[in-house]
Amino acid sequence: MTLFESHRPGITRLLVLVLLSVFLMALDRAGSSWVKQLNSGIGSLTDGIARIVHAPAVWGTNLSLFLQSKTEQVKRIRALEEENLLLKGQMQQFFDLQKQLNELRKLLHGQSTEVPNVLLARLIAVNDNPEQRTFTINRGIRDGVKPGQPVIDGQGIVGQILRSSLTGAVVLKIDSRHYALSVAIGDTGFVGIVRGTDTRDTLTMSRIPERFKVKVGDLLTTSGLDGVFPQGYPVARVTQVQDERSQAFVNITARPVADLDRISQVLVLTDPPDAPPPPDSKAEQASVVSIPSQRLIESTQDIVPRAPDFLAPSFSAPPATQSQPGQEKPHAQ
Amino acid sequence: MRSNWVMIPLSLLVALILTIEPSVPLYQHYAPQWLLLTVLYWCIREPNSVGLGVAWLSGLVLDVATVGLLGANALLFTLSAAVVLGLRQMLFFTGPVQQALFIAGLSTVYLLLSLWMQGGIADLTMLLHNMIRVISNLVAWPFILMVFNLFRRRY
Repeated sequence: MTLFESHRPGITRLLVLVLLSVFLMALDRAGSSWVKQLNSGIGSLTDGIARIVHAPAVWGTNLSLFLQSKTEQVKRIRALEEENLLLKGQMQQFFDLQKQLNELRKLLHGQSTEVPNVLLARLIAVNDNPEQRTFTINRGIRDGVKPGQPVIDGQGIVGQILRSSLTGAVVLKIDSRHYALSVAIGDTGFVGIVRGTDTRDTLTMSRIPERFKVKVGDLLTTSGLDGVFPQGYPVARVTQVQDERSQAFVNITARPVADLDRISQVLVLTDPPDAPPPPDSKAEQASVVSIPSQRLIESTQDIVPRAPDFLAPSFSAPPATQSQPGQEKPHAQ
Repeated sequence: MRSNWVMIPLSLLVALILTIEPSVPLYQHYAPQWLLLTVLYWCIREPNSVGLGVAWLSGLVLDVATVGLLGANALLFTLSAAVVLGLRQMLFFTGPVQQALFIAGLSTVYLLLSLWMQGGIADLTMLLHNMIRVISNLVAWPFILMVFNLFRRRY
């Protein structure tokens, strides 16, 4: 009979398990790859459970779509078709612009940019805790989702992949505590780091020199300096500028442009074009730092010897400069 | 006795699903800690099958499912299970209300420690959120006892 037996836990077993937990926590904080594998291994199980449990909800929406009246569906399809045409039209202009941009960049010894590969993913579970605000999506390793990839929605940056398993992936939202992202503020040219706070939909940025004249409503876009997020994606809009009279700095509060609380579908940038090659060895940091400086040296070397030649074909140069404002005009409209 | 081999994993799975799924923020903040309560129930009821090992493993799975620090919940699950196993003979014979009060007390310590590990202990609103969670644990315990008793009588 189990009733009258003592089931005091063995002290050695307790000690071993406690030490194991503490060891795991330490390894996790240190970012060991072994713990990451364990995490993604068990994650396959839990993400799988989330996915299976979420399935009826998907069937439910499908069923409601099926039961929707025909006229409503037709109306919706028409609206979507119109939107699609509009977007396609805008994209034509975009490709044209990109061609020009690539040509200009080649002239400046830079690489040309490519449109990033995106992957549509559906949200299957949300888990907010004090430390981080995350959600799970239904795409995993097999779809090419890897930790660190940027996640966006129709409006702007949502977050970054934190963990990827066989059955799903976890996305860390940008308003999580301690989350930091390199951004440029509107037209001011200031590049700094925006941080997540614990509060929902609030980001902060501190110690911006006053001379940059930041206004409420300015758009923060990714700077591309971090090598993870491609340049130019909208992140947040400035909602408040706190002016500290005693100092020459301002602190700002911003609200993410992506609707972080009501996400149902997101896009994962599986192949960020501006990102540096995957980190292979200890040389990674050195190479990342050296590339721009090398380019700078090369470009100055190019300019210095060519300076005398540059004067000679100066008659052919003006048409090129004249054509630029002419080209810009249609885009400005 | 044989049905336990089905009942235990099944109940743990259901508890895990209840922890993960209704992803409404309100539920996520205030819902009872289903997995912890289920593990502690089995520690009191069937200490031969559910002990420290199962508690540790459940905690680890919960860590992964909630994307927290790996090992934090595992540690707290193990310690809670150790306390319950140590006081098992007393807990087995007390009424459901006293049991619920004890479990709620234990979960207060659990939640405070977990908040401390996550670094939110100084935040008063977070503290209040967690205290509401203790109350929902208190309410959930008799409910869990009732559901399990129902199943035990049936099978």
